Amino acid sequence: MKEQPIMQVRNLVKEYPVHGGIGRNRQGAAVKAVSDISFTIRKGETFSLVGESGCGKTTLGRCLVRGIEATSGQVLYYTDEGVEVDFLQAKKQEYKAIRQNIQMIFQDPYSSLNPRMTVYDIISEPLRALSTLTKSEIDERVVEMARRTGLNISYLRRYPHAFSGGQRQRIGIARALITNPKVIVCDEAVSALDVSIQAQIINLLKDLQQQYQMTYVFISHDLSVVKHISDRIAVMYLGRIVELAPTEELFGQPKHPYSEALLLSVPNPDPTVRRERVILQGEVPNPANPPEGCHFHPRCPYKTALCETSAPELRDAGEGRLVACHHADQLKLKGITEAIPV
Amino acid sequence: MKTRLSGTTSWSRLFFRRPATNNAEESYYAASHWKLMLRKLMKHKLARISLYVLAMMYLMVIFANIIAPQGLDSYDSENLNSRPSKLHWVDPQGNFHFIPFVYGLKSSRDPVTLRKIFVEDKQKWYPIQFFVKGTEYKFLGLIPGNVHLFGVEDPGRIFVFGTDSLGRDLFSRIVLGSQVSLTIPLVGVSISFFLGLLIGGISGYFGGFIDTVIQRVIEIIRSFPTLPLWMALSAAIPPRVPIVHMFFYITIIMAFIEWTELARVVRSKFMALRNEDYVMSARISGVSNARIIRVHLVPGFMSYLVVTMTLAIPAMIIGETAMSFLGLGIRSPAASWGVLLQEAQQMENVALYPWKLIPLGFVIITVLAFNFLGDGLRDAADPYK
Ligand SMILES: Nc1ncnc2c1ncn2[C@@H]1O[C@H](COP(=O)(O)OP(=O)(O)O)[C@@H](O)[C@H]1O
Ligand SMILES: [Mg+2]
Repeated sequence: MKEQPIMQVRNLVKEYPVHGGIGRNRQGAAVKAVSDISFTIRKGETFSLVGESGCGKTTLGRCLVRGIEATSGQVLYYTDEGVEVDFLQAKKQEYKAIRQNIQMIFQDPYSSLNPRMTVYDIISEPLRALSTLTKSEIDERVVEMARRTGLNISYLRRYPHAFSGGQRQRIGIARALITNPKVIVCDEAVSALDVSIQAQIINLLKDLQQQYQMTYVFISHDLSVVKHISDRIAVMYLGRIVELAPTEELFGQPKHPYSEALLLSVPNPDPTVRRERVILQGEVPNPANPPEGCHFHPRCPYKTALCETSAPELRDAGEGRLVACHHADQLKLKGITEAIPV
Repeated sequence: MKTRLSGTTSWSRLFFRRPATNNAEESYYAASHWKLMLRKLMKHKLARISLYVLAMMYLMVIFANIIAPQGLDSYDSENLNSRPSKLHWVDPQGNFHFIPFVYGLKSSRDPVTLRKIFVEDKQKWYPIQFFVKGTEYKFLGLIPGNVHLFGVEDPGRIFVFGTDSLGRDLFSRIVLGSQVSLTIPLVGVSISFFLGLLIGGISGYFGGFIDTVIQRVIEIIRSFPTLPLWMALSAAIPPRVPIVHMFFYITIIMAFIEWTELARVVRSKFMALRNEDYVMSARISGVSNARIIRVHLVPGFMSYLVVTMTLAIPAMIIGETAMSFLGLGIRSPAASWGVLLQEAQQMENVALYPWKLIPLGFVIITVLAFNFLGDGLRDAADPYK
């Protein structure tokens, strides 16, 4: 059922200019925060992007929603009629139409709500900017959305400073959903919240996904958050996808050494079970100056001479999986289910 | 749920009406940024006191003609360099007077220095009267009047702060001078405000080459030593211009230097706010650029701009005072506190007639009050902490 594509990312690149020392910018120097990424998001699924901090998840997410302009590449969006439109090139009316369908939930519920606007103004802003609804229609939608996201109607005339992180995130969700979008990019939507509240918000997001048949692109640095909600997971390292696989398969048997390392660094919720932990060695390399060959080789326990010189392509590894490792077929990597003796 | 929501009820009316139980908590939650800021400001003791002091100062500006017992040009050749009048409540016979009075003055010579001094003539006393008729004036430059808040009957004289070398009442001149000294900074800051908002906004919004050019120009202006700059600029003012023009020129000179600071604040806040998540969020919600600037960016730094403006006022007051003191600014017959201080340029004048330094006290109090207020505002500018 979840086979139809809703978005397709093609060769997306985002570079940030680097300021070299004092004075003039060094010509051409740039951080490739996202370098040549391609993947497809299927209608109705939850697609997760995971990776260590600084690997370019936020940048990728923001390019998808066009919060920042990508340096090059395409973000194709498939409308209900099955028409393929490049969102990054869309103008005027077309832009407005797709814009309503692609929204974002932010990581920090404090800085993502304008402290000078009432909750009503915050939630209704996308509708006021994008739709032609009348005032009372907007009011109705806002009240309905407040209900669905668990906000009291009397909260609507308050300002954000009246609320805790969890409630603020509900406001952010209500705002993102007010235009009935098809795709929501959740950038670390729960990372800033207390653990007890994380679960509430995740459940809310799941319920809303059911109700409105939305597609989620869920960004997180934490695999344990992603595990229970994702259909497929893309593991990112230094601006590239190194592995893409359905959740079960990725957790059961990762094919990229970096995925294995990430999986095994997830703390086990059951303290009686001891897990052999492969702690990632070394630092994340500077993205402005990435290593030669496979970007992961300086930290990889399985590296060979080949890895130091040649960068592996992201290739098909069967069962709907993609992996970027020269030795993916030979390596026998440990997933979580394997490492835990039952 | 559907049925309850449908219908023609305007929901906005429903939730924007003040709830019947308007408790303190709810009013805090529904308080806007400015309300919170004011609330926090009022908790800052020095700032609150300063606010009252400044309110009194500006009441003095508005009602200057009424408060001052004399006009700007009034002089009394009998009473040159007269010391401040003493108020008395008990007459030589030992009777208590509820309304204070001043004695008449007669001149005599100091037996040691042989200098002319004034002694009180205990034979004549003049009780203070309120709302007396005196010099003609135009209230706020429009309404003619001649009533003064207080005074004494002729030929009595009341000099609250003494007189200057021409026999002019210093108190009256301080009060009337405040009209110049306290409005120049306000007008100057307003001009700086528009220049700063415009140029700083352009600099912060466009960035790149334009930004670089503007920043270099600002650096050049700011690196001028102020004194020679004033001299050069005021040399450019024609020598015999009407007072109103003079006032205008001085304001422009002050604003010419001050806007740079405001432009910098606007620019840096603009750049910082441009990267706020809520601005990104507005863009993703399809809000137009113009509206993002108007609704999300400008209100975001307005409170910081108010702080900077408040803190810029003292520099302007001191600037105007210094210019006028040096004879580069406001010139007689117009008066400002700086003009009044010109008499304090000679050491002997200060030593013999120390009351001539009183205008300095007004300058200091006003400058301190603006500084404290600015401090309080700065603390209150981010009221969510
Ligand atoms: N506005 C920016 N200007 C320059 N570099 C940036 C900017 N935003 C992010 N980067 C760089 O791009 C890389 C990816 O950052 P980001 O997308 O925030 O990663 P993540 O969300 O995975 O932590 C990092 O090296 C970061 O330093
Ligand atoms: Mg991030």
